[in-house]
Amino acid sequence: MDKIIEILSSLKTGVDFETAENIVTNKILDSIDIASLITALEDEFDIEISMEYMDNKNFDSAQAIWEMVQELQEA
Amino acid sequence: MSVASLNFLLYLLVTVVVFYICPVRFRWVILLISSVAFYVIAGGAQFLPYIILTSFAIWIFAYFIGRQNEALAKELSAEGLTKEDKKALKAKYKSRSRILLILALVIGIGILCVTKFSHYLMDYLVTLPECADGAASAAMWLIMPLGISYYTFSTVGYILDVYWKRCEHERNFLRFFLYAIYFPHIVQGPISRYRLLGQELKKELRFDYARVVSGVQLMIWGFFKKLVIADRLHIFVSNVYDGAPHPGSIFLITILFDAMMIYTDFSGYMDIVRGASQIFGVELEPNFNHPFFSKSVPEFWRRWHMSLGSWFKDYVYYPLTVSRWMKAVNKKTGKKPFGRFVTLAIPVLITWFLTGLWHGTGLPYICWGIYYGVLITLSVGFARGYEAMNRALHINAESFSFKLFRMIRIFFVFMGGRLLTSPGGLENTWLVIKTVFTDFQGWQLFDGSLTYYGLAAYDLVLLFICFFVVWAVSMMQERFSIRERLANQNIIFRWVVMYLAIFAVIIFGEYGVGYDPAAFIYMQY
Repeated sequence: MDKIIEILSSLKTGVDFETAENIVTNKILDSIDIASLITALEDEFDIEISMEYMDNKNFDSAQAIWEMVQELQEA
Repeated sequence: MSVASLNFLLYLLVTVVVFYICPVRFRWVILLISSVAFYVIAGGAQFLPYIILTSFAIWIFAYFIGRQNEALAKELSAEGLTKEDKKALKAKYKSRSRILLILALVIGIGILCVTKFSHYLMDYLVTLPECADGAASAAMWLIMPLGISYYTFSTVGYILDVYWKRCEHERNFLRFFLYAIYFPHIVQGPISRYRLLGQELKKELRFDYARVVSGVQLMIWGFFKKLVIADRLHIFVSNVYDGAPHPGSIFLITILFDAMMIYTDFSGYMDIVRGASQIFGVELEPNFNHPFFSKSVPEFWRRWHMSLGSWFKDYVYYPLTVSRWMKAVNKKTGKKPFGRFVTLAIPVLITWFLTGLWHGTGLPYICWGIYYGVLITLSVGFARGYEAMNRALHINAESFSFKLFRMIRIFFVFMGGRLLTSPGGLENTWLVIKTVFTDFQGWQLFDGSLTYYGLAAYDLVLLFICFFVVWAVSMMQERFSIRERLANQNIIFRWVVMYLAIFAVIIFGEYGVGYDPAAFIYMQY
């Protein structure tokens, strides 16, 4: 989880990602940030994010991202 | 039948009356019948088979993909499966679904491409004596059906959502067909998502006085933008671009008028159809969110033609980003800044190249797509550099003056994009740019020359007042909902405002020679 906060903070400064919700729905992260996020998550956690996971609900908070990463690691 | 015509208002009125007379459970059927009738009247009965074929092909293949998803979920829920078993099951079902998806896309996108691009081949074939007759008769059948870009993109988005398990498949074809052909969105969009519009159309559509009034108010605002501003600007812009060479100052004011024309024309249309849809209780997705208040080019495209930008983001940009091919490029280019820039630029440029092709097939549209692709890549790729520069120069990015600068900058960027496509060919674009810099003749803006292009002095004064009204209303809408505020006022005030707005459209609307109620600009796409 800390690593996810670190990645998110490197993409966008000035946002408290530990508490932030709806970060995609409210356009705190845009599509290009998400593309960078995917690359960083795949490198960091050795996972492959496919289109089935490209849904706002999987990226709307650090917790949601962490849950997606765990699911992909178990799959 | 244009939505900015009296015929459309009468058609809407009859549909609304029949709709609310019918029992609630049959109201969606009224919408379906009226949408098919609208399509036949506005587009022509000969094009109905195209939309039926695309809709049915997408629906049936999505249905089978949905069944595959259900079967997979059932098999995965069995106990005792190992990780490898699950992987094998997923791979088996995915390969079946992929075949179904490809077949659907070949039919849906294939029909779109044939009708959109085949005129190039036909234009060539009619020049060959041995093919001329056959090509001429074939060309009659290859005219683009009404709304094909919009309904193809909407339905293709639906099947991709089902394939990626983001949406349940629809079991009733007629329900799906209503989503595809729903008359407020068939001509110019918005490109609706099944997850949203499909569910809206399944709601119990009951009469709600406040919502109906709100819808009518939105329509009046749309008519104001279209009939009072856009159609007036259209006269000036078409007279300049269709005529002989003009001084640079006239071209410059035309570039400004052209940008305002496309905004008021397209956003006016959206307000009319969203308002009409609200009368039935069906919410269409917004397509504009005051784009000229954007701070950057990427933000502009999140506020302008939002449904198209969102479609390309979800169904082109993201699939490219997560594709194996892109990941391989990513690994090769590495984590150095240049490598990061390349992996950012490739999907953005491809997406914008295709967005350009969606708007038109000629070289100006390809250049238009590349223009925005390059600007967005530079804007995002060097975002940190710009921030550092602002800090070094002690620029307060939140100050009014800097916000104003960014708004003016966005407007110029937009005018640059329009300049690539509006004058009718890149050679004309070059002529306009060259004339602005070499033969400006600025005094022509003040000596009455502006009235030589179809608009009287009264029209020009009215236009600048209207620009101010649009700007002031947009500023207020950024802060609050005007319609909600109006709903809280007393009845006399509300009706005075309504009558003033209606009379403004009737009195100041441009219905003179040259008015073509069918000439909504985005209809051609």
